Amino acid sequence: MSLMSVRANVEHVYRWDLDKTYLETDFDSVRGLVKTALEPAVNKRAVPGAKALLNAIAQDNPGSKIVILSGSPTQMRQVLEEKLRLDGVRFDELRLKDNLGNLRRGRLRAVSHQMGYKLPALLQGRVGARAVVHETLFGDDAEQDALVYALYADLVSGLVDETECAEILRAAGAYRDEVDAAIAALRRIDPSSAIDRVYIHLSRPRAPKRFEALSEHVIPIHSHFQAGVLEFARERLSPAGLVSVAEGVLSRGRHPVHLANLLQDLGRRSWLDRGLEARLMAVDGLHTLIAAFRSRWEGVICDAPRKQRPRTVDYLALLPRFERRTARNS
Amino acid sequence: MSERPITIALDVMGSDHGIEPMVEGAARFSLESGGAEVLLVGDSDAVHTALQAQRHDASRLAVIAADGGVSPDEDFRAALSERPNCSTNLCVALLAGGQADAMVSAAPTGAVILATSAGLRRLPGVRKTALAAVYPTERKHGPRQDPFALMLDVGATVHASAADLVRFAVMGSTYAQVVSANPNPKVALLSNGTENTKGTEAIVAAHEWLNRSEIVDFAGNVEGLDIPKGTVDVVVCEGFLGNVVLKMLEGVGEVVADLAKDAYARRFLWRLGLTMLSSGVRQLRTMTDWKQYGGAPLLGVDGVVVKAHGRSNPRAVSNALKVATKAVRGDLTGKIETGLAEAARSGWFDEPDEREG
Repeated sequence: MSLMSVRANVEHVYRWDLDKTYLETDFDSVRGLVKTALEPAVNKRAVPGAKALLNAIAQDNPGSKIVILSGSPTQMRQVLEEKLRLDGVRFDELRLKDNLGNLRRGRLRAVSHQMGYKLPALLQGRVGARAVVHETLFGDDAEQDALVYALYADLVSGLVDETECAEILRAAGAYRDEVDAAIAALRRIDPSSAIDRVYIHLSRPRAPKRFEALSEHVIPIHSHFQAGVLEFARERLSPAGLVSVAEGVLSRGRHPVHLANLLQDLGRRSWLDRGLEARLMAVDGLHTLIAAFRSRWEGVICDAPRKQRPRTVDYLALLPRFERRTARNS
Repeated sequence: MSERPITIALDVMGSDHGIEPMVEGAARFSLESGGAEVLLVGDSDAVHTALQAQRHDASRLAVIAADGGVSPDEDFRAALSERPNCSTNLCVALLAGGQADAMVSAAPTGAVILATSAGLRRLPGVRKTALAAVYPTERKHGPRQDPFALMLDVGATVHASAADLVRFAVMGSTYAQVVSANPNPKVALLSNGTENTKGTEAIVAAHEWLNRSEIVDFAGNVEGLDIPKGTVDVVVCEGFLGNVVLKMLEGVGEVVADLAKDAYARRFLWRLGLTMLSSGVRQLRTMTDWKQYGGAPLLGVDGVVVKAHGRSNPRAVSNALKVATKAVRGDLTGKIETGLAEAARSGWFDEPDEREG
C-alpha cells in the first residue's frame, strides 16, 4: 500500500498542491526557478489566505487527512517541511517528485510533465479507501492540475475507464511504468463519487471559461477566500475558520470591498445562494462586510444552492489546451 | 487591511464595438498591480459572459446591472431621459453618490456631457465644461518628457466666450500639473496667427485677459502648425475648433499608417525600405496611436469623468482607466477647484471691462 493511502478511520482527504496553490512561486523564469530552489523557508510566502485556509481545514476536520502532492524536487523536502512547520500547518504526508532520479535514468519527460507523476500518485493514494471517504483537491492553473484532478475524479467515479486512462496518459507523455502503475491502482479502487470538489487557484490568472470544459467538480477560484466560502457552505469550515481565511487575505493588502467582489463573482457563477448569504450574515466577523456590500451580489444571488451535474469530458481533446505554457499564451 | 481602493465606474455600453472591448480592457486593468476597483456598469448577463472569457482579477471587478446603454445610433437625449437607469446615467449617479471616485464612458460624447451636466454640479466659477484630449507632439513635455500635449475644449460645447477660454486655460494647466506632473505648463490659445490681434473676438479678448495672469503661464497664441510640433503644453480653443483639429490629427495618423501599408504591398524596394525603418515606423505608429492615450477627461465638473473613444479597443479602455486613476490619485478635481477659487479671489476672473470700470 502506498504511503499516501487512506487510513481506515479517515473521514475526508484534502489533497493540496504546493507551488502557486499554497506557495507564491515563480517558476516562469530562470531567475524565479533559482530563487525558488535557493531561498530559505522563512522567505517563502504563502498565497494570501492559503495558510489560514489549510490550518482552518485541519482544525475543523480533525478526522481528515491532509496530503501534499507537489511537483517540487525531493531535494526541497527539508525547506518545504520547515516552511509548513513555520506556518503551523498540520499535514499527514508530503510527496515530492524525484526529479534527480528521473534525470539519472534519462527520463526527461518525467521531469517536465505532470500527468505521469500526479495521476498514478493520486490513484495509488486512493487505494484502500472506503467509498464514503470523500476528497477535496486544491491545485492551480499553472500546469495541469485541473485536468489531472478532473480525470482522477472521473476515474474514481468510473466515468472514465482504464483503457481511456491509459490512452490519455500515453498522449500526455507518461512513461510505460507510470501508465502501468496508474492502471494497477485504478483496478484496486472501489468506484464512488468520492472526489467531490476541486479548487483551482487562478495564479496566472487564466480565464475561468477555460475550465468550463472540465467536470463540474472543478471550480476556479480567484482567491482562497472563495474556497473558504464554498467549504463553509458545505459545512467543512467553521465560521471562525472562514473569518481567519478572510483575515489572511485582508492582511495581504486587500480591502473588504475586494472580498465583496469575490462574493459577487461566486454569485455570477451561481455559487452564492440566499441560504449561504444568510449563514454568512450570521458569522460574527463577516456580518459588517455582508451588510455593507450585499447590494453588490443582489442581482446575481441564486434562490437555491447550485447542483453539480456530471459531465462527459473529452480529456484527449483537452490535453493540448492544458499543456504548460507561458502566461502570454494562456 | 489596506485602504479602500479607488473605484471607477466604467460604462461598458455605448461603445461602437459592443461590450467586449470594454470588458476586456477592464479585465486587463484589474491584473495590473495597484489597480483600482472597476465597477462594470451595463447588461450584467452579457458582462458576466464576456468576463468569464477573460483573464481577470475578480476581487477588483464588480458588475452593476443597468437598463441598457446609450448606443451611438440613437437619440441620446431620449435615451437618457427614457432610461434613467441606463449605464451612462448610472455611472454618473455612482460618481455623484460617492460610490465611485471616477467614471469612464465610451458612450457618445453628447450623452456623456448631458448626463454629467444633469447629474454632477459644475465646479464653482466654471461656466462651461471642457473636454480635454492629449495628442502626440514632436517636442516632449514636462519632467517625464511625455511625447504629447493637451488640447481643450475638443467638443464639450461648440462656442466659448473669452471668459470660458480663460477658465479652460486654468483647468488645462491644472490637469497638466496633476496628470503629466508638469509643474509649470505653458498654455496658449489656438488662433490663426500669433499676434494678439488675430482670431475671433473671444480669442482676442481672452489673449488680453490671459496676458495678465499670474496663475497660468501664458505663451500667447499658437497656429495649427504648432499643434503637432508641441510648442506649448496646453492648447486652448473652443469646442467646435478643437473637435475638428482632433479628428483631423486622428485621420492623418490613420492615413499615414494606411499609406505605409499600401507602399509595403506595392513595390519590393519600398517594402525593403519600410522593413529597414520598421522600428522607427513602429515608434511613429505608437506615438500617433490615440489608443495609447486612453481618453479625454471632462474638466469643470465635480468628479473625474473620462470620455473614452467610441472605437476604443481593450488597450485604450485600460489606458482610460489608468488616466482616471491618476486623476483621482492626484486630486484633479480638488486642484482645479482650488485653482479656480484662487483666480476668483484675486479678481482675475472678473470681466475685463468690470475690472477696468
